[in-house]
Amino acid sequence: MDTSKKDFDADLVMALNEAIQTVPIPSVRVRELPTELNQFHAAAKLNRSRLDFDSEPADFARALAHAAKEHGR
Amino acid sequence: MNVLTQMSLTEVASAIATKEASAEEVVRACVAQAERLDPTLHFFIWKQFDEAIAAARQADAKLAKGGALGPLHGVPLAHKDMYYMAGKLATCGSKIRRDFRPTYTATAIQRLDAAGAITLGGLAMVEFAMGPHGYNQHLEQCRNPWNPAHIPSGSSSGSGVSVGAHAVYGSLGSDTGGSVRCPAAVSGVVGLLPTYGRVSRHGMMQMSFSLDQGGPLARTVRDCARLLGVIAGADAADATSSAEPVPDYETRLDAGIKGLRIGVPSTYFYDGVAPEVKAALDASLKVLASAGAEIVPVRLPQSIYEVAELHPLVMKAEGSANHSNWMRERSAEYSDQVRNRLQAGFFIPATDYIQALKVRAQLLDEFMKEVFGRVDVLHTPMLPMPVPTIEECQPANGVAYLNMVVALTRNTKVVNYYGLPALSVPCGFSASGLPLAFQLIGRPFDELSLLQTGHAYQGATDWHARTPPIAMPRM
Repeated sequence: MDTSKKDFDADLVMALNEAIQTVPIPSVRVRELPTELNQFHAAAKLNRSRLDFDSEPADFARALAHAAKEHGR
Repeated sequence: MNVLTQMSLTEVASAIATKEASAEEVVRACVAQAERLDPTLHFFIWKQFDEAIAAARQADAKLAKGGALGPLHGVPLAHKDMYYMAGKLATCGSKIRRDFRPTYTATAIQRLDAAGAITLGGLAMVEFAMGPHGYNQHLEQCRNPWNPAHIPSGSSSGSGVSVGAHAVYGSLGSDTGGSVRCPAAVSGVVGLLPTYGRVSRHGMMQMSFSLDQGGPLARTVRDCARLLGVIAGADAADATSSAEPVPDYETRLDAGIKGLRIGVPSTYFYDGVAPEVKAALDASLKVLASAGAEIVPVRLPQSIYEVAELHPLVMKAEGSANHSNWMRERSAEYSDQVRNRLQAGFFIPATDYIQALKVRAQLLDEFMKEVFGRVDVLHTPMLPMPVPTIEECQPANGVAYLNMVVALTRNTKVVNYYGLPALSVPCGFSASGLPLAFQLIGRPFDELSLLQTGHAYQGATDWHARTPPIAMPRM
């Protein structure tokens, strides 16, 4: 996973927390969070090209049932 | 000598039904085992032994009168302490819920009760089911029955340990990224993750609603087949439960695996796998081939590596939303580890989270075509390394600790994202004397193929029949 471009940094996390989330997080921990957040964000970005306008998450149960029929023994 | 605790769930159910043993004798044997081992292994959070003995007497009285019996009549079980039972504690392994007593009973528990099972208490778990190592700052350290210096894994720690220590015959755990399968693997028992939606989650504490699924742990595949047969099926109280028909797993267990195509991947699941784990996996494939299965190398879609990152994105976004109020108002009551794990979820953009769910069906489709277009079952390592010690999993170890946490679930979490069923089966022991296990992954709602494969393997091996020295019957 290419995480060379850092979208999250400690300043952004701190600003978001102070303005929106207001979760008590020590500053030392705020500095650790961007590593994890950048991994997640990179994975999300990699999958943008797969997005189908008309798909919706609730269809996943139907996708499972369909896959069972399509690939059943 | 207490031979009752040496029996499997299905064996003891038969012994009770044929009056070779009374339910009271069986429950008392389990209570004695629990009282002997719990002070060392710490697998119970709360116990109801007197109530269980009273329930066993009622079960014996019912048996004496004749009439229909359930498939678990008089069988002692205990469950991860996040299955709700009206009026009973459900601490969820937490300080925040230390006095929580739900007013209703989980559908899965109702079904076990209706089948005649007797509940001994609530079992140890990682706080709010968040962590694969089995450590919970609020509880005494739950320990591995094969060697108390090693981890019980988690988050269903007490489920794996109590079954492995022969203190109960089966247990329900929950699995969001490996929390049934990993504790089963390290305690040398069988753990089943059913297909997403196969088992009702009504009354099971929520951790991440897109990924959570409850499942059984027991000493044999047959035991798991019986438990799944009891708990599986549609539930009007759970909108995500599936109406797919539930086969009679147990009666079809002996069908054999002649001609079954078992896929073996060379990437992802085998990345960084320890040589002794690989050797045990190779040996298990030979056993399965001897039973008639065709072993087929398979290529995995490259996107499985992205799935490994999307899984924690979804889990953390949903988990943090679920804990949103407590994280703001009662933050100090969380353990350091769980509080830290929940923090990242507050900063995941909603668009990233929704996209991670929107692409799920496509990624499943890729995996299905690449894997289940060629084989019937996928065979992989469970843990990529031998069971670590408690010392090796200390948060104070910094980066090594974080790497260990990631390694423990790398082979299980992707299965939850795909929503597929998977079975963890014991397949030997490491040089350090701790259990090793393989994982079988199946098509959606095809738990039967996994159970048939695991059962065929257990018919040709005896790993599952071994007892940890600490749990051996006393003369």
